[in-house]
Amino acid sequence: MSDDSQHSNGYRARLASLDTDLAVVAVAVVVSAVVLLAGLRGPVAWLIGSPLLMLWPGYAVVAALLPEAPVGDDKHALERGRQRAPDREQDSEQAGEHAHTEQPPATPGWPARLGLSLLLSAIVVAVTGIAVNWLAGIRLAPAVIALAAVTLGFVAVASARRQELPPAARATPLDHEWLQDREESSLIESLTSSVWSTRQARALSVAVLLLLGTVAVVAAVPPQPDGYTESYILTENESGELVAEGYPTTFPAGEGRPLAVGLENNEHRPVNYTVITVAERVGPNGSVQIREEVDRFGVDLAHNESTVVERQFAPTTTGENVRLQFWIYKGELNGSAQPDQTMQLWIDAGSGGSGDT
Amino acid sequence: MSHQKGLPWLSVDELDTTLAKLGILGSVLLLGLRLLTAQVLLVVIPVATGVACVLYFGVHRRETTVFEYPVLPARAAEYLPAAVIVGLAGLVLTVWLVGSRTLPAYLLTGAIGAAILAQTLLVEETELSPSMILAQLLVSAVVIRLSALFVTPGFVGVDIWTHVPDFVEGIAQTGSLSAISESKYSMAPFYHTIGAIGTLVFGAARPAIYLTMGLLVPLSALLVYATTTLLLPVRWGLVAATLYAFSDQFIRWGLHVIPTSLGLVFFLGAVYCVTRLSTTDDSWLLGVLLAVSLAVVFTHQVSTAILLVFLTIASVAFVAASVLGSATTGPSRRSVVGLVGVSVSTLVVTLISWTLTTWTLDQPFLFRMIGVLRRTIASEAGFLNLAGGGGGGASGGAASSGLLADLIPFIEWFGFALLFSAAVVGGLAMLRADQPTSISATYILSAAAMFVVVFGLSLFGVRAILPGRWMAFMYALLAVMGAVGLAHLSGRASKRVLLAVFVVLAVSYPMSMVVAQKATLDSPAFDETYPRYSYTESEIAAVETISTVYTPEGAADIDSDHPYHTLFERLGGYTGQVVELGETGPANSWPVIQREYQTTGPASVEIDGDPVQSVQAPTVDADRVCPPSRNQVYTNDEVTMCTVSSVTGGGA
Repeated sequence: MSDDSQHSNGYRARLASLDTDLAVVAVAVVVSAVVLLAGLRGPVAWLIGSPLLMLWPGYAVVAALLPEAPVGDDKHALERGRQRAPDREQDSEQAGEHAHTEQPPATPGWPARLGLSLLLSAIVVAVTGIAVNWLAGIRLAPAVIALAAVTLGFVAVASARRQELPPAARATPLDHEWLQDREESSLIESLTSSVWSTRQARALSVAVLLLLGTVAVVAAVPPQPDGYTESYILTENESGELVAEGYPTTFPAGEGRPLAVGLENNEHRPVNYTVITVAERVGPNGSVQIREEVDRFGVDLAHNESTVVERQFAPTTTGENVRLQFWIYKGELNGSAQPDQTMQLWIDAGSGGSGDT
Repeated sequence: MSHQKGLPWLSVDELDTTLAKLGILGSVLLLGLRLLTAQVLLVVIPVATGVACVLYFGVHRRETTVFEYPVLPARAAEYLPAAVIVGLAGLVLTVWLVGSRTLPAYLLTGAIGAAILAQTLLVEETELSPSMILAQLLVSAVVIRLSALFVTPGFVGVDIWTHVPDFVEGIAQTGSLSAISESKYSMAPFYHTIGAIGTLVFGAARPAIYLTMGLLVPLSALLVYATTTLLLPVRWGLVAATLYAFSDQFIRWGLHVIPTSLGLVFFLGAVYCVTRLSTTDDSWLLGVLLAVSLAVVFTHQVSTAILLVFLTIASVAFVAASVLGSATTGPSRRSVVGLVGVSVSTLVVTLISWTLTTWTLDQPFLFRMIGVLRRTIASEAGFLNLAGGGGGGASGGAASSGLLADLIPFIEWFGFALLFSAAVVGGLAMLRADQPTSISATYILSAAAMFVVVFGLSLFGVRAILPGRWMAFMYALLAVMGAVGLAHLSGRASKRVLLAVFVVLAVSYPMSMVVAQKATLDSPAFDETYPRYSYTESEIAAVETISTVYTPEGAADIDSDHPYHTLFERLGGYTGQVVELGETGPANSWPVIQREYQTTGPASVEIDGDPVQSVQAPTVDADRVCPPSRNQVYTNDEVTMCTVSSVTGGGA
């Protein structure tokens, strides 16, 4: 045997003794914890945070519980189905008497392990969170560090338990056959073999790229919701706060009463607002008998900007059935254009005294 | 021994065919109830049962001598995976362009489901690639739900507006579980703890919920696959997982991600463990079963009740099989003792937890619920007391009329009918053995018990235990039993019958399920019948702004339509109700919220009277909700807040 060959065999033996999947989990957990504790947010945090919370802890637990390789995974179950295919009667009998004729695999296959990993991750995260709540409070650093420690602890247990088994019997989902000479398909292999060995490969590859590209574009350019403006009438309460209750109802002739108009721009563009306030005396049938402009002001707001403008309103129109209407225009004011928004407050104008509603 | 003297066509020796005969007879008799009430389920359930029993009875003696399995042409089968992925890309693009799910998106979703189901049912055995189909199924399940969630502002559903903004964000902000200490989740903090840690990791609660439990729910279909493959070859595991992943109730809890969703995931884990325990007795399996059972207790009370029913029935079935069965066929003593131990432990922990949970009126949750149940049975229960049923009934918004409106319930329930039919065949097939196995009994009796809760108790008006929440759990058992039924048919029915069954199932099931009300909470496919349980940016902003400027010292009541009033209640902190309208305006003097959706969508309001009548808001003049005689003190293009004016005295 040449030196190269010996070196190669030694390299393979060392690789074979490694638990590739557990190493991947350990590295992913440590990197994720460091990145998150460094304060990184956004899509990167989403990509590394999801498996940190919903996959790695449970995977480590399952690996610790089940150090053995699956015996009778998908591939074997499929083979069982194929062997019975010529004689479907057996299948139907099995449907009725399944537990008698078919023994499930001695240890769960990879799909079952993946499913268990997901739900055990949820349990590990919840239990760790509750423990952190008692010990240090649910904060980012204690939670992430505790979760990483628990996961790494289970990784260590899993690795130790696997080492107790002969190499051929160990669960090694990421190791290929050239590393370990046995027939059980690895997780990667079972996912990819059918992809790359048939005519559908190219069509499927294009489809997957199309889906990934579409998701990337959609994620990069989130849909822009319809814009809107919020308007509201406020008045000062006894403690000096501006609130939407207890409005003044009586506006003595010649005396102004203070009111505030709130505006919030969510139009996704800067807007030049004009607010015109009119006093209208309304007849018994709802018709407007008298209309008087009481106030007018303009305000420029950028997107996501808001303001509250306090004004004195002193209508000269008198009567009991008078309403203050606040007409809000977005953008340039065009003569007789209808206001974009309208608010109203009924008042008793011109009489003495004061009252709130 | 056969007991054929009195009724020669009934035989306890052939339990399956006897039940099939009784099923046919019972379904005909049940159809008679349709004369007493307009409940669509009184047609759907008997017909589905009858068809299943006829199908089972028709094929039960048939002996297949040649391979008669219908298959898709090889070339078509080869390109279906690519078609599914392209369909998903199209779905993402469609939802993104429109900004919500609309009819084209639903048709595309149904087509994707049909393509996956066709692969599971109609691909040649030698061409079947479980991992490929499983990958398509899981990616589809995730994309279908998350594409809807991420284009919908805020959250989808009602309860989530309390769970996330109040509880999850409260825990994340205070760093303590004290944010839920006053709620009924004080002893069931799993969901909120995961959400809070996710919030800290992702920086916001919404992505935290969606990228943790929002992903977990669709991916948990994997457990249905794993469970079914313990009983049947992988083809039928794929069928069961696809049936479940595309069922309306499972989609529902992937959109409205609340503790029920997490409880459902843990329940699927428990079903897997119990199924596996029927043939193995590994220590790790008992450990995992105990862990997931306790996890359910610490997550959600209704889920706990459902799990206890399942575990109790499983324990009884295992004990019975152990006592009555032979040593070689029944579960091992270790399995039986382990399962009973887990069941008792779960029950004890549940009782302790529910006793320590103080809910309303400073009364322990346990006693409070017993009281509610007792009052419900004493005062509300009555035969065919179906009005307003939120469980099994085809409930929705206020009633709409027209031919399409009459057909909609049947379109929606057709998917359930197919699933139920397949499950009935599966249940009968499970009884074929001389002595039904412990796991057969567990599935049949558990599904039957859940069926009684969902549909039976609803029939008597008992809805205190939220029967609607049980459906997704029942569907999991039905999906596995349905796969058993289809596997049974595949070995006995003629190729023509089998092809008809498979094609109808593959095409109709996903199409019906994905347009059902519960699968489209965000944007109903039948948008003139069912209100959307999601809100626009404007509608959410109105609640947030109003709750900062309108904070009366006394009772803060704000009324609006259903379901918008629930947002004011949960996000705004008000004690609002559905607005009750008199002749000229609201019947009371509380502020009322009018929104544009009240003129276009089937939001409902109530008309004052005896009894109060619920009607669709568009049938009511907008001025009646917000009369001109009221002040209008807030507006945002879509939403207006109207308050009573002492000047006009109007509006109340």
